[in-house]
Amino acid sequence: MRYWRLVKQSTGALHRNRLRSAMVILGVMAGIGALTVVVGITKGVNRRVMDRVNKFGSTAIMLFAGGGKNVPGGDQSARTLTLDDAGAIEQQIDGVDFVCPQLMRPRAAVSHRDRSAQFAIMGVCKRWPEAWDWEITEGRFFSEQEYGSMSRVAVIGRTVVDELLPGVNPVGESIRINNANFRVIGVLAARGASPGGGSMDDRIAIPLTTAMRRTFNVTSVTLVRIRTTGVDRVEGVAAELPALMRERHHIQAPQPDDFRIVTPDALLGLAQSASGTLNRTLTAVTAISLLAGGVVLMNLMLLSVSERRREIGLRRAVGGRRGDVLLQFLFEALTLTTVGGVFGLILGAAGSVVAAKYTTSPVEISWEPAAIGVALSWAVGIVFGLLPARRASRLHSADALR
Amino acid sequence: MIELIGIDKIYTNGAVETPVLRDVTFQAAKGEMVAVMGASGSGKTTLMNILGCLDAPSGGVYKLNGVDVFSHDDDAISAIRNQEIGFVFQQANLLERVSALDNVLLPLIYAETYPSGAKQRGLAALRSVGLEDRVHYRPDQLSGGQQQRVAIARALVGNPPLILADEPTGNLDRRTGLEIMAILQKLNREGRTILLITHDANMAAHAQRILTLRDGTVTEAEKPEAPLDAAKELEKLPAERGEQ
Repeated sequence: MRYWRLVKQSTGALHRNRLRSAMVILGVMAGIGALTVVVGITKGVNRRVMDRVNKFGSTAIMLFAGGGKNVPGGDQSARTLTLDDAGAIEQQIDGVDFVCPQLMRPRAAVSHRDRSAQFAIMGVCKRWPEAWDWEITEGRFFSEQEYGSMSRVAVIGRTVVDELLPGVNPVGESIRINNANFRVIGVLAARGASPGGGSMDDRIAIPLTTAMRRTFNVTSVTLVRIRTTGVDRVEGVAAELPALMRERHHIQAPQPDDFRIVTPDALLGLAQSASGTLNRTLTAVTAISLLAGGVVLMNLMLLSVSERRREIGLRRAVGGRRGDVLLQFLFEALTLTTVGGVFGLILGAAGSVVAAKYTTSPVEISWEPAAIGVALSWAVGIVFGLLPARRASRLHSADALR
Repeated sequence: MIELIGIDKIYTNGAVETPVLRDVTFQAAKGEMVAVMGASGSGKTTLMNILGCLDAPSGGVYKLNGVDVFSHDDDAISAIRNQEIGFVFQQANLLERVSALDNVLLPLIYAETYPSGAKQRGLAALRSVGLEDRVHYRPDQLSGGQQQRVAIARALVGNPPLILADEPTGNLDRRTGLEIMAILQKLNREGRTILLITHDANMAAHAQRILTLRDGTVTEAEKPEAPLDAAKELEKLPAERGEQ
């Protein structure tokens, strides 16, 4: 009861110094707002990372042609990765279930009647849907017979359907790829962004045989997708791969590799280090703005304490204990930071919605920022309100009244 | 009621020691109205702070209702102030933007338990200073004299046996000052001990006893003739302006 009445009086004091209170509220609001957005973005990015890893496949390893450090994406000009390499991997490394070599051409002119556009062409193996866990939503995938006979058949991505064949049942239609007619036999399920970030739906899959011999006339492939027999075999297979490839490509120790290996772990690590950098930056921004809010709070509270010396002296004279004065000022600080925190949460939620709408970064809105925000705003209130409150409680009542 | 025995107060500023009170000894009985008179710089404020349990003396004993005040800790002394003493300062020291009633109730907030009839007590205190029609006015809507009366009501609300008034009329004109003095005299007739600290002999003359503070030492003035009655003085004043 005693404290409730003190509390009621505190709010009166805050009302009296509206402008000052508003400044503190604004400061904390900015900090908590930033925090809310940060947590939202972080969670969204983390989820996207997990999505990508899941899409990549937890039991898969990718072997790309060409050296270098950039992951992922194959070097289109490398001519060193062959079907024989793929066969050797399948036969010689323990734990490999099957391999799926693939030829990638990022842009080819594709047309249907009077419409034309550029799409990525993938020459893919027979077991490609299985290798990628990629479903066919309409029509079918090509048959063993079509693969063997280098048929000009195509399974097209969702974006291809939308851009080239809008309003048309694509299955059975004829499209031209590099000036050769291909029959559309199926449509790939929409898959969204690749681990590299690009869309995976603007692609056209044709038999690898057709791609190598008839369309692009090459003897090498861009990548080999390796399916292991289980998650626990991924590491072992990835460890054996480099030695086999170096042996097959006659690469001696100081020479650089002409291939790259991407594992789910590597992908995860890469994505996490990227989001970690983002995280640290945003966390620093949040910490700085909260600190600024706290410093504003402390200064204004100190100002308030010196302005209200008479009030403090009076309260002590009529029987207020040091603890009562301390609590009153601490409560004033807490009230301001809590209000700032709540406004900050609202601002942050709104900011997250806007960020999700107008940027590519995914934002997830959840309860954690609310809990963290409220806890942090209390922490700011206590940490930065304590010094002024202590100073108030230690004021010598006789001096304060003079 | 009040017993000061050999009170010393020395302010220390670095190596410089300034004695302000020297061996101050006096008593005031329950129900007395005593004035302590002194020029500025005589140690009045220091004495007031000690009497109000706001500042500890350097030496000596202060007994209030038989209790050795400064042998207690700060929280206990706060409780003594709350229970035993009603303060009236030169300035009303009211909380801004808070109604007269809420200002009056302030000491009750700091009481060990908030009394159930608090509001009624606050209203009664305001009535006893003649402000029953200004209960919900805020300080900035009240005149100086009215503000001082709110301060007196605040001093009364906890029903303390001692009212400590430090230059209560110092900021007021003669008429308003007499009005305040009349209220204090009325409270004294109702049985409260009143200690009036002032530099103004005209105001001190309303007390039954007058102590003089000079160079940090208190001397009892010669027994005054009958104390002045502020209410009667007011009647004698020309009724030129009604301050209320």
